[in-house]
Amino acid sequence: MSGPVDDDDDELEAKVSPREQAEAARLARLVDDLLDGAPAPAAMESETRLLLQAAQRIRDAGPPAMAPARREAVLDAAFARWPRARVWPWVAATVLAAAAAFVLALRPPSPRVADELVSRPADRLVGRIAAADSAAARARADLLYADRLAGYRRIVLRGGSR
Amino acid sequence: MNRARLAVVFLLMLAACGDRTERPPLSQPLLAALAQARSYHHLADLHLANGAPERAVEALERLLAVPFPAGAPEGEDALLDARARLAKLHLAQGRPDVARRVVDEGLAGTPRESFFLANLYSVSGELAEARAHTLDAVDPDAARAERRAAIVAHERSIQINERIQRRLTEERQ
Repeated sequence: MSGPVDDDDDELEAKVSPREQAEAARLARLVDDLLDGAPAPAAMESETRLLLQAAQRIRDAGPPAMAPARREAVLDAAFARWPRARVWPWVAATVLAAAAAFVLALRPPSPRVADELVSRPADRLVGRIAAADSAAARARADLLYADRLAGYRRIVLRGGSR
Repeated sequence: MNRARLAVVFLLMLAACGDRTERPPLSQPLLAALAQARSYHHLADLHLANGAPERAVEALERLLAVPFPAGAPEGEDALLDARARLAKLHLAQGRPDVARRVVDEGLAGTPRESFFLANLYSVSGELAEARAHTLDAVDPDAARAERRAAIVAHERSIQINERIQRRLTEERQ
């Protein structure tokens, strides 16, 4: 009780007046004496007596009881090693990810296919659709089919038909 | 914790290496689907010329069922265009509710912006305008609400058109 004050309490201590500090030290000495088995002074303030009685009751109650199984579990949790079962999934995932990245990096890049030979939106071909042409879907279907057919023929002619 | 960070870095590297968004080459299934779409439009034209709009509607509904290759942008564009035409046909035949359903289904299922999507929003605005016109005499409040919806749809169409145009211009530079 009368030991050095924790660093965390520095700020609180700075707000305590010297008189309060002296009172606290006196009370701490009384509690220390009581815990050492010395009898309590005969005359003291009622508040101080209540505090000493509370300290005495806490001392008599002893340390908090804990069931043996619970105590074992707490100790195991505190000191047990990291179970291997939790490590292996991470190791496996890391190794697999590294292997996959390696394979992808070594894979030869696929030859780039010209834009007109791949499936793509028809926006560039058709352009903005005016309100007056809103229902003129037949003309757009003709245009789209002709354009894609030309691209497909190029694929077939160069032997890349699928 | 360090191990976790390392794993995350590895996975990011992996994602970066694998991020080669290559578009598939033009394929026979895509060309076949585009040819079918084109044929259905021609069929619809012929039926309209013969004074059979219902048959034209049937042709366009069959177009909506054409199986385009999954993820093909051309397929998405062609289907949006078909929906725009079909909706206008339904509207012209006095079926605004059916037209609305055709448009809304197209708008709901198309996250990618395109001139075709902008066109469908424009048709959506036209439908709302037509609805407002019919409501003017019986329910002025509802008519105003429809006009507000029309304005929103047309503005959306304009914004999409501007974004696509800007993007195409940037790509050209």
